[in-house]
This record gives sequence, C-alpha cells and structure tokens, in this order.
Amino acid sequence: MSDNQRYFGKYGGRYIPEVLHPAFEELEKAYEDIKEDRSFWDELDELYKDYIGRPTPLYYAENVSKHFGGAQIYFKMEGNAHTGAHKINNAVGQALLAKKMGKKRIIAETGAGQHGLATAAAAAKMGMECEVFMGEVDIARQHPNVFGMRLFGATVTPVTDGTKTLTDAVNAALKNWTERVEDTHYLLGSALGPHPYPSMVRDFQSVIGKEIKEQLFEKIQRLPDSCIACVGGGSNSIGMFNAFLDESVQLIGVEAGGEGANSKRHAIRMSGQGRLGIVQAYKSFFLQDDNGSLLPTHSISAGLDYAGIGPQLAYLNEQNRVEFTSATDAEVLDAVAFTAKMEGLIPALESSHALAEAYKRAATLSKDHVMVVNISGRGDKDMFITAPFFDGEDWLAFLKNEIIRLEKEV
Amino acid sequence: MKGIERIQKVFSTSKEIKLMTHVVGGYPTIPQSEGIVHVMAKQDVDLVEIQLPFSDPIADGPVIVQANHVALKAGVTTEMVFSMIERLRKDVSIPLLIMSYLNPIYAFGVEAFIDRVTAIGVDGVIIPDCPPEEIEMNLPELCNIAGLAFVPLIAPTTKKDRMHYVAQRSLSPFVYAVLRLGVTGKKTSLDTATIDYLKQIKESTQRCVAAGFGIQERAQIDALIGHADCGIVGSALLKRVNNALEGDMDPVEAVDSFLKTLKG
Repeated sequence: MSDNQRYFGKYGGRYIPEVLHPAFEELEKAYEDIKEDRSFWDELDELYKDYIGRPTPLYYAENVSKHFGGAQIYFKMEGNAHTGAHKINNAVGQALLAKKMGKKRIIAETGAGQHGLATAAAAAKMGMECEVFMGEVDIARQHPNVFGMRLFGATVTPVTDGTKTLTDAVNAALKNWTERVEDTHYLLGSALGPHPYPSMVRDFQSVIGKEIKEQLFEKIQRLPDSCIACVGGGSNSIGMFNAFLDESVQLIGVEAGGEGANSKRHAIRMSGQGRLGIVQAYKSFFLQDDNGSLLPTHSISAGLDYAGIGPQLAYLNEQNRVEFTSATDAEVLDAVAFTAKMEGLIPALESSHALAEAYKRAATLSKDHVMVVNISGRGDKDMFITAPFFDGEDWLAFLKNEIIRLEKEV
Repeated sequence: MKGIERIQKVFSTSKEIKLMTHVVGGYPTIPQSEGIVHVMAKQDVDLVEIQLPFSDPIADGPVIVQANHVALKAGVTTEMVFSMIERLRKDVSIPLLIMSYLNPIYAFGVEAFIDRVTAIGVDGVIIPDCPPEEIEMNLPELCNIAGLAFVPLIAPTTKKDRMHYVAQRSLSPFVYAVLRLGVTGKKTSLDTATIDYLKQIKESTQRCVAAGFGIQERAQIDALIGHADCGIVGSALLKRVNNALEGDMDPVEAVDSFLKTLKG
C-alpha cells in the first residue's frame, strides 16, 4: 500500500463542512486500520477473485499491433470485471470496509450509472441497504443502468438541483451523509473528493496495475514502456499507474476532448484550461469560470464528463510524471469501431479515449515498444449512444417496433 | 466603527436575542436582493449574511442551492455582489457579513478578497468549507489582521474538546452554531440536548453564539433566549421570496411582512 497522504504536493486536503468532521475521522481511522490488516486484504482478494472475476486478462492485441506496425499493444481487460468496468474493484473494497465499520447502509453518487451499478451490486452482495443519488438528466439518459441498480435492490434518488448531473449528485450524497452519519457509509466512486477518498480509492483500484506488472512479466519478462488510460475523475488511471510510479514507464492520461479543445464543450482540465481551485471539498484542477463556479462539461462518454480531477493526478502532472492529452468524441467513435472490427471486442466510450491515443502513437513507435492500454470498461452499456451513430436508421426502426410491441404487451 | 468592532457592538446591546438573516447575493435579482437587505436593516435585523452565488454549495439545503443557481444563471458575479454591498454600506449601518464557499474567494484571490471586502465595508466572513485542519488556508489570521470577523462554525457532531480548537484561530465575537444534523431549511425545536449543546459551545469558546439552520417563526427565536445570543433565519426567508415570485408579488414586500412577524 502507498502511504496515506492528506495532500499530494499542494493538491488534495479535506475542505468539509464541520458537521462531517467525525464521519471523516472515523473513515480515516478505519482505512488506516485495514491497511495493516492482512485478514481484510485476504477477504477482499477472495471477493476480487470469485465475485469480480479477477485477475482480468492482459490481452495481446495482435491484430491492431500488426496493423500499425509499431508498438506491441496490450489491453488490460477491466471491462471483463463483474458489472462491466473497473468501478466494481472500489465498490467491493469500500463495501467490505463499511461492513467492518458496522455500517448498515451505503450511499453513492453516480453520473453515467456505472459506479451506481457497481455499488448497488456490492451492497446487494454484502447484504446492505443502498441508495444512489443520480442527476435527473442522467437518469433520463442512462435508463438501463437505473433499471440495473433497482434490480440489485437499490433506491435511485433523482437529484433536481443545479445542472442535475454528476456534480449535483456528489453534493446530494454528501448532504445525505450529514443526515445519517451513524449508520451510513458514503461510497465515493473516484479517486477524488476529500481525504481519505483519493488514497483509499487508489488503493482499491491499484490491483489493476499490480496485475499488469505480474501478467506482463509472465508473458514477456519485462515492464511496459508505456501505459495509457482515460481520465475522468481518475480512478482507472491511478489504479493502473500506481504500480509503475517508481519505474521508468511512460504514463499517459487521456481526457475527454468532446467537440474539441476550443469548443467549450469538453472536459479537458489538465492542458491549460482548468485552474487550481477548492470544490467539493478537495483542492485540484477544475474547469471553472472567473467567479470560481464550475463550468458545464461535455463528453460523449458520461464517465469522463466531470469538471474536476483527482488530486494525485494533478500532482503527478505537475511533477511531469503523467503526461496528459485528449481525444475528441469523433476520434473515440472511430476507435470503438476499429477495435471492434480488428479485435472482436467493444470497449466502453470512456476507455476508447485511451485507445484513440494509443492508435495515434502506435505507428511512430518501434516494434520493441510495449504499450498497455487500460480497457476500463466494456461498451455494451453505450449501445444507446453508439448504435444510433453506427446503425442510424435500422436502430431507429428497431426501437419503433419495440415500442409498438411493448405497448401491445404492457 | 467597522468589522469586528461593529459586530462586537451589536452583541453588547441589551436586546435579549439578536437576529441574523441570510440573503443570496443577486437573488432574485441584484436590485431586489439589495432592496431585501434595506428592508432587513429597517426591520431591526441585527446582522445580515450575504452569500456569494456558487455552483457547488455543499453545505446548503435545496432552497438555497436553487437560489444560487438562479443567480448564477442570471449572470450574477462576485464583483456585482461586492458593488451591491458597497452601495448598501452608504446607508445601512448594521454588520454585513459575506457568506461564501472557499472557491469563489480562491478564484478572486484570497488576499485581494480580504482587501476588497474590507474596503467596501464588510464586517466578517462565514465560510462553511474551511475547517481548522486546513492550516495552510490562513483566512482566519488574514481576517484577524484586517479586523474582519472570521466566524467559526460548530455542528452538533462537534465534540466538546474540539469546540475550542474550531474557534481559537479567529477573533470573531461570535460563533455560528448549526442546530441540527443535516442541512439548512427544516424545522427545529429546542430539546435538552440542544440546550446542553449551546451551553457547551458558550463555555468552550467563550464567544457569543448565533444559532441557526431551521428557524421559521418567532416562537423558535424566543426559545433560544437564555441559550444563545442570536437566531439565524435563512431558508424561511428565501421561501417567502419564492412564494412571492410564484404569486407575482413583490419579494421585497414579502420579506418585509415576514420580518414583522419575527419581531419580538
């Protein structure tokens, strides 16, 4: 485990309202305790193995590698994890911790619904009550995940404040926690927010990088030359990078370029557009206006559509340890189609940002360059976004027929 | 007289229980919120906290959150609220405090913010996301030097031995006591636990105590007499404003008539 840090350089901290102070003290202590508790990690390893399906494969993407004729490209298949993305690693870890803390109820925020889905599954598995806060706008556009969460027995509570999206869901969850600190754990979904969440979420996600290291060593007895991951809040990327921070491995984070860096419709925080701020109880880079209010963001992938970034990533960028770049919505859709055709797998739109960057670089690199791309999630969940794009009229006809059929039946 | 001194003077009057009211700067509009503060001063309110609109007010209830977003959507800026206070200061003599989350202050520049608010006649600041553990955030000290009250916030979850710690860096004559778990805007009654809690705050911090989050009627303010020095009314006022807007009435008048019912 990495050291427990309140700050990463000048980033991080815990800028919470006073009412939450004891809740965070309790959580920090519990997290400190389990760090040294072998039995906790043994129990978690069992869950990782049998429930999540870990280790997820490290797959040599031979067809795309040969296509570009440069780097050898490996995919870390986090999308193969239970519920379809890396989010479950953290959800199960924190749910187990909450159970050890004697909590009966779990709350979470969710944007696209992937973290909500993972949390609802973990809560069901642990036999705990679960309430997920989700912006009204997100509920309307991510219905399949809402349905999934409800099937897992969770209550999905619409958030009608502000922009009615992820950032408002975070605020709603924090507020709900202030009302029920005694029996409730707030299961935050990314490596951000007030301390200890950035460290704790990183620790639960660092299994990704650890496995990559072992698997690659087993296959080719060496370290990768580069690792590429998409960056929303930053949990899949820091989970991948953490094992390589002290190695000479190039680390690349790819942000959501949306409709382009100059479009004002993107979520690029790290390439000069975000500014240092303190929002949602942590200090980091945020897309904000001159008055310090968060700006609306855009991405084709809901999971990257957020104005802040994890404090450790902001620090690693400052230290020139992680390089940041971005991919546009259009580049991402190309990467989905190309990967599906070449390798027979559909990556999530989020992960396809990392793939788009990998494909930009591959041909320019030598044949002995080993690159690992984190496929943080699988793309089934994106069908309602990708199908209209790739399969326009047929998809529309299908939906129309489905409606007619359902109206007859229901 | 200004800043800490002006606040000190309010708390040293013989009035049994003082009243502090809250407005979201620029809500519903700049002229209306300016009018509301005028009405507050006229109706014997003792202190007014003026909130800088912000996108992510994590400690506020839905009514205040919504007002923040409406003000932001209408284009209200930090500078517009400052100009409003500057105008108000010409004929309003009661203490005016800024309530703000850290980021609007951080975006303005912490030292520039202190200079500016001091210059326009603000007397203190209330910042809900600036806990004492974040020692590098030296706002309490900067406020002390500028003669501004950095108002410490205490919650029912604050342990007795922590109350002093929360207040110690500030020279504010009073502390802000949150009266129940959760966020602003729900009804509060004064039970023995609350009375003990207020007593502990007074003992531990040796400051005057302003108690808030949930006061809606005069009876609740009266219930505070002997236990706190000041009652705080926030969401209840905003609800009157919203009701007036929905019924096509004048929100300034709605605040005026509501404040009359709060008078002792």
